[in-house]
Amino acid sequence: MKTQKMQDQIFGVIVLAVAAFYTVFTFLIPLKEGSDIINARTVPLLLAALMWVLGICQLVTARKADTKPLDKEARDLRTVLKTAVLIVVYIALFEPVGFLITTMVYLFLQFIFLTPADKKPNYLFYGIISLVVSLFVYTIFRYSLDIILPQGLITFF
Amino acid sequence: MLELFAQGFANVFSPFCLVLMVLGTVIGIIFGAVPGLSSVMAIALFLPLTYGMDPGQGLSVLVALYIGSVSGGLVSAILLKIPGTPASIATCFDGHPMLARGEGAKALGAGVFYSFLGTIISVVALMFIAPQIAKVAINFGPHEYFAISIFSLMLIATLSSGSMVKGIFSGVLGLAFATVGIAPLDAVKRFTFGTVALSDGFDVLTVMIGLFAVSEVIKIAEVAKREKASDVAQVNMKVKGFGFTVKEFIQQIPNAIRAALVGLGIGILPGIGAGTSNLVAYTVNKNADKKHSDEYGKGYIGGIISSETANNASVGGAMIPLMTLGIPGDGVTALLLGAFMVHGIAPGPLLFQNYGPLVYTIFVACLVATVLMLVIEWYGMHIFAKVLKVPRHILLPIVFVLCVVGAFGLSSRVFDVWAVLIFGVIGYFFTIFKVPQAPFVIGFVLGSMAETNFRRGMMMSDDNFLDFFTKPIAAAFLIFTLVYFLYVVVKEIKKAQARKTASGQAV
Repeated sequence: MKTQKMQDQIFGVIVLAVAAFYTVFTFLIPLKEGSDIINARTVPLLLAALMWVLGICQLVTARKADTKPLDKEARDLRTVLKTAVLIVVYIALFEPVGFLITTMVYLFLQFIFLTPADKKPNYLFYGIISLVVSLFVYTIFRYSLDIILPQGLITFF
Repeated sequence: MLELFAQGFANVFSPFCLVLMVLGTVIGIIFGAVPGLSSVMAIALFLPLTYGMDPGQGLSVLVALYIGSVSGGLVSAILLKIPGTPASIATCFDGHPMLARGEGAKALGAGVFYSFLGTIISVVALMFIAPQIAKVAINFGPHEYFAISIFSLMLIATLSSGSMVKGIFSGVLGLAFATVGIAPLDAVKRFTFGTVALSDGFDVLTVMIGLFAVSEVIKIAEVAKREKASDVAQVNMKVKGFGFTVKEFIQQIPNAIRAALVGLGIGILPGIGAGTSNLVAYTVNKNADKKHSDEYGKGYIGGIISSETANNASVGGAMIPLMTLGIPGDGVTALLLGAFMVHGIAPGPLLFQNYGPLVYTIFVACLVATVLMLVIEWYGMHIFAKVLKVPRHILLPIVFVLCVVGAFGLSSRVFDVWAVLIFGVIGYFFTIFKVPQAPFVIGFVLGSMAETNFRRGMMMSDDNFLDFFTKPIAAAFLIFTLVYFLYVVVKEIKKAQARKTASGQAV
């Protein structure tokens, strides 16, 4: 996304894509027999129509948008990507492996990923915090709120 | 009314409730103070903990969190020169120069004291205004509710961002997500893709956690590598009272009153709240306070008073439409709405009729939380200053884990955790494309209310939409919405043309 114009155009296309998706699935909503003019599809149809209008408006206005290059706000995409993958894996393993292990590992790795470049990750400190937080949260939920978090592999605690 | 008040006091002053409220205030202030943590996150995290409490206690804790977090932003605004939340942006303007002059304690004292004053004024206003509105609203039918929800959505979509298209899209997308699940009235399944999990639709808590917490973690990831340890200013807190004199207090009364009114009014309007009111009040007072106009921004106590009175005055304001109509104006009140719903209570005019003791418990809780905030924030200042030193790359992942647990705790299914992730991704895309998040949330929350009342109203009117315009209140809101919309469109077109001629001249 080098210019405001490009960014605006991409956004317009995304809006239209969402509109298309929503429209298609709106027409797949089953209707009850003999339903009124106003039925379960009415509001989704109105919303879909609005999305189309908004997407077109966005594309029309984007034509006149600034073509100067955007300030390079250095987005650290590597860290973002690592964080995103880590979160997805964490959630995917949340139930099968269990809260304690996944949370400990998630926290430990996430601390490392987010450590500022001018600092050295303090592995021991990170490890201790990860352990303490996971155990603390688990115990509170399990024993004082009666919410049983997924036990996964550790079934004795 | 006095009897209800006494009952409210009795509820709030139970030891269990008080302890929780103290805790709520402390956590609220911390979430307000630490940049990157917000009121919404504080309440989203605590909401699951209140499921097991009785409604009065649960809401008391959430109110304490809310009030604490709106005020807490001033701590970092003054000590860190970064506002902890958008509610304290204007506090930075004068907080920093005062700190540089060695008046840090005075700045903090004024901030804390006027947060207190702003909240008290707005809560008293809430107590007197809300029952009156409830009395009128009791006669509202589907037509009125539909009109008011559309009006709210329009306001929030246009006020919360620079781009009208993006604001409205955000709201429409929120409405679209609200259509997932079983349709109102005829119970048709929509957008469930054959799954059971989707037939209940998405839970508001998953939307909020995803939009506000997950996207925050990802945002931190963008800049984490470059982050420097935060530089928390040291302040000698040994001052008399709150650091300012009685004379200054008397001098500042007009500023405080103007700011409180601005805060209250902006709080009542859907879509804008403390994040806007502090800036508006600052500008209003700068213009109205002619004698000192030049001193604003150079370390004038009136600047801090404007900002901090107004942002907290918005708290009481925002509670008015929530409690009387069941219409939330921002993320925080959307969660409070969820808190009512968890206990099977629908806020609205009937709340005042059927749950009188609960209503007054909430009023009392607001007052008590305000006092707690004053005491805890002032005397615990050095502790909050220390919390600011905790690096964000440690704090945010922990908050994220708590969010995941909260989402899971909803109904013990991983589906909700995945939903959090989906909304987190949406939230992140929103930040990339500068789409405001608030309209999405309000669209989502008001979606089923708007649709149910629309369809009910149409049914009652034999499918004749014009019938909405025959009810005076519904018609007034709809016509205002329409006129306002046209005004915004015209303004937007003019803006575009101005830009075009400007760039034309440049070439």
